[in-house]
Amino acid sequence: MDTLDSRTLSYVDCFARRFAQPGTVKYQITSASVRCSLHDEDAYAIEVRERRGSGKEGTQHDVTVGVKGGHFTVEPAKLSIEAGDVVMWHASGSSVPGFIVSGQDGDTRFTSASLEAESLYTHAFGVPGTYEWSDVGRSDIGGRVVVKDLDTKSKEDCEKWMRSLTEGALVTIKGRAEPQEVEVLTGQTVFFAVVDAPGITITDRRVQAD
Amino acid sequence: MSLTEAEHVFAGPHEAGVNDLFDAVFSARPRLLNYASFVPTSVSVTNIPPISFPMVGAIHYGVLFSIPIADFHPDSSGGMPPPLSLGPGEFSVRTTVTLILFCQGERKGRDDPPITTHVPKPSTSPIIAKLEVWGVGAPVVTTFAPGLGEISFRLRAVELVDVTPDELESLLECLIRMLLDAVLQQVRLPFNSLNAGFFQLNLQRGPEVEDDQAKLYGEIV
Amino acid sequence: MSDITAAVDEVAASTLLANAQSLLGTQSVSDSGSLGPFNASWGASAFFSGGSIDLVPPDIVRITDCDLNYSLNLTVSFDLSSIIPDFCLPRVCIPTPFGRLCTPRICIDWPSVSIPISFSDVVRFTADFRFNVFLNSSSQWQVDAVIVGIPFLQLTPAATAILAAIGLAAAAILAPIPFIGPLLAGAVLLITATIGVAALTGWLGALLTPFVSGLSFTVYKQPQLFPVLPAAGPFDPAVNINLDNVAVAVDGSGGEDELVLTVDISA
Repeated sequence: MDTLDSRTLSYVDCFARRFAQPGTVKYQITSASVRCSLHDEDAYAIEVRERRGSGKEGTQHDVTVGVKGGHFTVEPAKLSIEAGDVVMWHASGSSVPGFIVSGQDGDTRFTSASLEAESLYTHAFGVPGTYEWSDVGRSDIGGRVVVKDLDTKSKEDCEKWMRSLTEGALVTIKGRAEPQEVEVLTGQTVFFAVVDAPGITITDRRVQAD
Repeated sequence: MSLTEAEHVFAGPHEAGVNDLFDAVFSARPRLLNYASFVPTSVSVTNIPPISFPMVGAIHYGVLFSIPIADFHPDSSGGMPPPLSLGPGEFSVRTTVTLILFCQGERKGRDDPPITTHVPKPSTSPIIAKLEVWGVGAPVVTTFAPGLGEISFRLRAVELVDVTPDELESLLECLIRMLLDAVLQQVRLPFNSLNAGFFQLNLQRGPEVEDDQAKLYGEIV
Repeated sequence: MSDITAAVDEVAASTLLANAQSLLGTQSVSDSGSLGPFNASWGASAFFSGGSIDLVPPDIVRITDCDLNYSLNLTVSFDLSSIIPDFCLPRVCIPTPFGRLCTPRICIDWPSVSIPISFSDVVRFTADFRFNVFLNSSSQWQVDAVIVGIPFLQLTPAATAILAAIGLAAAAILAPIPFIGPLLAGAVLLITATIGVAALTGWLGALLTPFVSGLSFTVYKQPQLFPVLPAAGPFDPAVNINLDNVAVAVDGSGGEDELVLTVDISA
């Protein structure tokens, strides 16, 4: 089974957040396995400007997290977005160790390790099986992801599977997960959009040790 | 005909090889050939009790044999005295026996003064007689377990050369036959010495003494 | 004539051979190298059993259908990237409560894998052996039957079976690797096809041939100072004889082929 746990972002995961208010957002990238750091990680800034024009859908901005000399890096280091835009963080590759995105948006602290409103977590599933997920905190929010293998006996089967990889599934969390169960193929991605929740994790019950 | 014939293994020590074995046994353990009442047992000599006779006391003596030389049928020893003859399945041995006697009291000539005391005077010089001995006999096998056994040798007759009168020769031949037979019975050659340890012999036939060999037949354990 | 002559026929010679095979015991070898394009490490152990004897004058023992019993542990290691082409998950875009969002292209790093297999089999061969008589370093007369040349070992069936075992083991090792599921069957086929029966047969031949090339069975070993009787007390020391010379030959002049050992001795 692969590891479904939003507390740690791996190279098959993404974390996104919509920033609705103008201002300066400061954030850091920290290691998921190191609770206490001996030095202050760099704080990066996102400049959130007033949105020009109404009715326009927000734009997605990608931030790539890498590692150099034992420290996390981000690209771009400075970002300027409009209110209502979404910033999505993801690892540059499999060599990036598990990380957490944490920061301050006005008066609100946010972290990928505890998903609140306006947050999104994605996970690409690599191993077939049934993943019963829930929040490790006090909420009873949870659900199920069923991952199936496509029997690729022929070249056509293989091409069909490759095409399916561009498709994803959406789970919207608004007090509860909707739908409760989604079914995807190996390699497909599930998007967990947190609209209203008290800071939750999306964690496979088998992984919950803390 | 093959060596193994109807069996599966064959061991055939030649008379020359058996003489080497005799040589080795008697050289390592000479006390098997030398018997004396006047010395204690050692590697070289086996102590035997003296002859006890009233009024004489202990008469000390010794019997020493030279290493016997064996000859397997057919006879190739050259000089076996009649009436001895080597029959099929038999072997002959040739040795010399040395008889030693410690005589007590002085030996008086006709013109010497008479004997005046009953106390025997011990002799300081033994009387020694050496005789040439021929014997014939057959090997005897003893099997303890499959693959474990030994060959020894028994005499049926002995002939002394140039002893007179005939009655004395017969007496000595009987005596020496008994002694030499006893000597040879103590030479027990294990099976594996007769095939130089090539295999563990489960004896089924033999020893058959012929062609100057003692032939043993059997199978491997 | 020699002091001692001992002979065994073909039936008894088979018993001598069986005893010699037991004495030889199990031999082992381990090494590493390549198997096709992959890295490999292996260990093998082997012992001999069976076979029927044909004595061929003047000096040949032909052993027919002798079994080489072997067991091997093989580990094949490689970077899976060399087998499976680069694979990337494409961008996935779906409408969400926060607008249409897209994940980036994610390229999968295939790991390095090690595939261990164990395999045991028997290969049968026929070979001629010639005798070597010598005094060894421990002053023992030794007669070895030494193989003549290198016998042919039919290994293709075993190689085919080993390849199948590699395929099965590879499938089990690879299955838990994320994202490989739909690619697994193809990956396993690629692994076995890349190794191939021919290469595996060659590798197996190179592994097993040393067990048989130079193979020798000791059929006679006795100290030059041969013990006849053990010591039997302080007055009866041990009795030994010298084995001065040992010779061995195959003789068929008596109408039956026999292995004949002749020994000259001295006190």
